Amino acid sequence: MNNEKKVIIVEDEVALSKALQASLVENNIGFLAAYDGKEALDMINSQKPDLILLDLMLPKLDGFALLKILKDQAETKDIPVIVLSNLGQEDSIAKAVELGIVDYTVKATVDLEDVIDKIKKYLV
Amino acid sequence: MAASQNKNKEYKNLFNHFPSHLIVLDSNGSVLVSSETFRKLTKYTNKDLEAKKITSLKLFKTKSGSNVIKKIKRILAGKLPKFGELGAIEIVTKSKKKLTVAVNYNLVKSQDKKELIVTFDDVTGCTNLKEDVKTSEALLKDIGALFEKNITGIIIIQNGKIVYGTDYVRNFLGKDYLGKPFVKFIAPEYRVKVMKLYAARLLGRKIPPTYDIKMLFKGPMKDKILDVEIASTLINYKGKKAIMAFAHDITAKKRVEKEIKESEKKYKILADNIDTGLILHGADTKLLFSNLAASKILGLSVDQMQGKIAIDSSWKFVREDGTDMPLTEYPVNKVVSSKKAFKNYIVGIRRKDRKYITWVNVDATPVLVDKALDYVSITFVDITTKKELEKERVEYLVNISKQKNELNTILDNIAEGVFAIDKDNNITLFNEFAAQIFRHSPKTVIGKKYGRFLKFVYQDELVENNLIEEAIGKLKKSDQATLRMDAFNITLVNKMGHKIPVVFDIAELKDEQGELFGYIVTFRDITKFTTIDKLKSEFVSIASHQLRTPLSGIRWFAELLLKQKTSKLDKTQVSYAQQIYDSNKRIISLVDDLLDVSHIDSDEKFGIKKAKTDLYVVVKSVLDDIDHLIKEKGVKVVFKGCTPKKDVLFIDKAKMIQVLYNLLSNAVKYSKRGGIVEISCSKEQRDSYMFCIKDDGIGIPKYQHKQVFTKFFRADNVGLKDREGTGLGLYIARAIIEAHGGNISFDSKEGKGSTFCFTLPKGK
Repeated sequence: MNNEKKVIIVEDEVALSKALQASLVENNIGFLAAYDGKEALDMINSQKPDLILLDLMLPKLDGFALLKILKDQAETKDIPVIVLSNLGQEDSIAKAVELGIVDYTVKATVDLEDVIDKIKKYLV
Repeated sequence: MAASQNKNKEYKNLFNHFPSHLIVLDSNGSVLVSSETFRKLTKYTNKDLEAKKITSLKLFKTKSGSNVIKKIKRILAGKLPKFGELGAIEIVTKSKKKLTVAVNYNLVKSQDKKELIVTFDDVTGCTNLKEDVKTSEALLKDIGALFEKNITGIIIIQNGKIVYGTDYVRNFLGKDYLGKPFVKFIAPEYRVKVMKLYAARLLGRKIPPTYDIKMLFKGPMKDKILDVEIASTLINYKGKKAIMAFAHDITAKKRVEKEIKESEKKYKILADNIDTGLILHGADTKLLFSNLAASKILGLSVDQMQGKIAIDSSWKFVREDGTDMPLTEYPVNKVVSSKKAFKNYIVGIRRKDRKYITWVNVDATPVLVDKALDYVSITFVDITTKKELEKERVEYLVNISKQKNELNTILDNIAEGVFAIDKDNNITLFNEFAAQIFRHSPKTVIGKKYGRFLKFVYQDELVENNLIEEAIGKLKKSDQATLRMDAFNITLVNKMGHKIPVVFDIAELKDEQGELFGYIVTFRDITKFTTIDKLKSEFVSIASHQLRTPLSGIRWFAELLLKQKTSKLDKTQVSYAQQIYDSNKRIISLVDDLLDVSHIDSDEKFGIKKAKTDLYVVVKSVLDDIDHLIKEKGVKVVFKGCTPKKDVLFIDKAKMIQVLYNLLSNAVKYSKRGGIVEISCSKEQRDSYMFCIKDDGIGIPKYQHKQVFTKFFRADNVGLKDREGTGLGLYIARAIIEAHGGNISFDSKEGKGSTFCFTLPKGK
């Protein structure tokens, strides 16, 4: 994997973000980290990442609202989004899928290894 | 009657101046005996008279005397009637005094010998015979006039014949009785008696002043027998002895007497056979009479009461309010002082020997004679029982109303709706809570058909069906007296159209005889509970989410340590990190299970999302998931009966994976090392599939079979090392299978293995 590809990690929980970052570093995947919805939107709009890891429960602007904005903007609507959330309910998943995400992962049920596999899958 | 007796007495005295003097002659005309009065009159001694022939007596040496001697001879010879009068004669006493005497005779038999009783009445006092007759006739007339009024007949009998009669006598004896023997008119059975009395009277013997006989009267049509009271006296009539008889018709009297006796008897019977106590007091309040009922009510015998006055130490009177009654208020005293009658006076009688009070309702009446009090009549009825009953009734009513108040207070203050309906569906009870929920006031609904006001419906049914009707129907079919309607989502629709979730109970209302007279419904507003339920599941899901975040952190950092790319750990450190990782994973799966359970508990369907699902794929993916377990245990897995792309069901794939994961991981986990796990899938009737997972592991102890599908079930024979699960797997599996319309069951023998089977309908 090369450093040219950029992933934006949208995760308000610093520890989780750090774990993801460590894993991405190990796998040589370039990334940026945003810690709330607004920061994420700005970052995405300015940086145009190749993939977004998105948490749903976010301060300032929640994941669903952010996702909706991204899908409404021509320049961002095609960026693959992998949802990494601990909301396991069917309705949350259904709602996210409807908004055009590529994957929905419940954080607690997966290893970092699995997350990296998924990222690699959509960065090709 | 008393009056006529007195008058008879008066007349007897009137004629008492006729003294009787007599001699008795034997059949030869010799003097056998003479009376003292005769000897006093004639001054002759016994010696002068006894055994002397009457013809030899100087007594009769007069012209009229010799006539009498001649007549006596003829009487003794049987030539004249056996008794009669010999008229007035002159006799000469020993002291040569001339006397005029009236002579009567009676020839009697004594010890088969004829004896002649000759009586002499000194009539010298009556100076002139003619005058005497006149007087006596005038007297008779007066007497007669007097007796006409009293309906007494007077007759004069001389020589056994009726010589005089008052007008009144004619009414009975007919026109021609004069000159006829009076015996003819006496009833045969009385003739001897009357003759004896007649003779005794003539002889001046003592006879009863009055006597009753029966007389034959010549009525206008036929003979009539009447009861007659006779009083008689000896008189001088026309110079000769005569009997004046006063005859009083007592037929009426006898009848009246008989009637009185009868009525007295009746009255006594009546008085003794009524429940009303009767008491008669004298004006001095002394008790003169009491009947049987009085004895019964007062518990005192007639003798015990007789003669007592109202104020007696053996009893005390009590007022209606239970206080002592002052003497002035005693019934008798009240009448005595007021001379007025009163009614319905309630008096309690307390007796020394009785614990209880006898209550009577008294009516009292004064009996006045010439405005003076003669008697006080008191009647009374025992009302003790009635009063007791009334007391009980009042107490009962007070109690009832107390209880009713209590009940109403309870009913109106409990946080449950309560209403009752009768057999005709009318509302008979409607409590405050029901009123608040339904928004109807009790006033408007009580007495009206419940259908108009009280609606209960199934929550998701559009048509408004009436649940009460349905509940009553169910209740009737069951042998239960109550029924709870909480198995469904029931809502109540109130006046405003608001739907309020409730559960309700319905019970039969039965009277003491067990007769059904209505139903009572109690319902509870469960809005709060449904809200709480919602809150609970929200809480669980949020809590789960919040838990998952740090758990994710632990998992990932443990993972980073284990990869040993960023840090160099020794073997021990790696094993520690592995422990952290494994323990954390267990917490995560526990949280996942709890989340599922909270979904199951709050919603039976818990978001089943069905889609076309290839059974083969599902099983394979599960087997892949647990591959590490299988390998670890060295278990051989046999999967048969499923064909890819052929056995496609309309089910929730993720949930089905969960079921199979739970069952298969259990089967592997609890298998013996190197054991066999068999997965079989077969198509059953009606497009339903049967899945069985069989292991030859440790099995489940028989005593725990019932609990296998309950929450947090753990088999007792599971080794410590394998006690990893949450105990929720089978509970969740069953909920998922049932949500799909299938069934799950198992068979297990401890030490031999378990087989879990479930059915799944193919679905659409």
